[in-house]
Amino acid sequence: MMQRKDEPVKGLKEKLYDKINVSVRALDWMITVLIIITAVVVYIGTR
Amino acid sequence: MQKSQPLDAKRIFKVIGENIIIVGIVLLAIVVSILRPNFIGESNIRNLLGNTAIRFIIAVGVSGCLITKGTDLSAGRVAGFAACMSAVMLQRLDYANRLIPGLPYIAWPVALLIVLAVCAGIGAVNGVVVSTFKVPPFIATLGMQTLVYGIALVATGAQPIGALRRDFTNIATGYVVNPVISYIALIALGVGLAMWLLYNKMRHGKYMYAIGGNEAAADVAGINVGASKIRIYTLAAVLYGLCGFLLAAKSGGASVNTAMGYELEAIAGCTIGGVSVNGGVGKISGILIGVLVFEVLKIAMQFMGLKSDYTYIVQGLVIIIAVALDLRKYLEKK
Repeated sequence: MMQRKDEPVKGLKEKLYDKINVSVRALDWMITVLIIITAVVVYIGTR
Repeated sequence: MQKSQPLDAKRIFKVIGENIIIVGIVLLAIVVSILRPNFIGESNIRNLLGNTAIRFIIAVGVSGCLITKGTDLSAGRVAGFAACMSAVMLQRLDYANRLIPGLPYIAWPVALLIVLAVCAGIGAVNGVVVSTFKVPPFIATLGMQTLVYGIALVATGAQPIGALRRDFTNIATGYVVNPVISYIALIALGVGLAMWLLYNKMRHGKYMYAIGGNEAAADVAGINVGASKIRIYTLAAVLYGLCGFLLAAKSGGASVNTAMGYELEAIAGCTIGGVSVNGGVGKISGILIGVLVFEVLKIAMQFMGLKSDYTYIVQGLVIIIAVALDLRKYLEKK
């Protein structure tokens, strides 16, 4: 069976991930900010 | 020995880092159970296991699609449609406002088989559209989601269906030995074991991981990729059907909005549980943990007194954090 060259190897989400131009360090900051936002929402929601 | 100690500590931090959401939720559960002892009470654990069981079944179905780099956005609507079908067939015969008044008595196992067969048909259509017509799974299943929702609306007239037979609802309320071990939890356990065997010990599972790892290589290796995908989407829809059937029994009724948004919860549970959205990776135990973590989060928020409007914001943030962590893993590997 011949390999079809036109067939995509990567999935839709993998391709999307490849397009994201962000460093791991910047992503760490984003995750930290998201965690802080979550904590603030929980604090406000339980007041 | 002296050298191995820092290495072990490094490994522990690595494991914690890779499972930070799970660790965080476990800590949250510990804190909530100290502050609110009812959190680990019998009725709450039973409720938690029942909710987890239903979402686990749907998540296991979605996981097959995710592992092959696909997705299935029709999961929730197919489960909702299955719940409506089950409810229509299993309404009490003496109920005055039956949706189909002349429908004869149908034993629940027969109703279950009918529901599963219809859902298998829907899944097979999804599989054919994805594998034969090469439509991206996101688009194909989005179309099916809307289509099934429309069919359910027309079939039920957008009316809720209640007054279900006791023998049917007993499936949800019944338990073995201890009320905590409900029939639903046992059914989910059985599904989990069967799917574990299928994923790890059978050819179907190996094909699935191979396709997810590298579809072109799997094709070259002689795997019938198209047929495998059709089987994966069909099996997934059968599981959504089972989920809908159990959900109708648990709720004592159904409507077109039953299981609304479950597909996204299932994808979130799979992602938190380590099923990579890049394909080729995912374990049944991970899915169970992911779904359980998500349910613990929801119930813990209720116990903490978080206003219901805010729970959606927190759930959304947790999903975004889980995806960001998945992306981080992907970027680190590159």
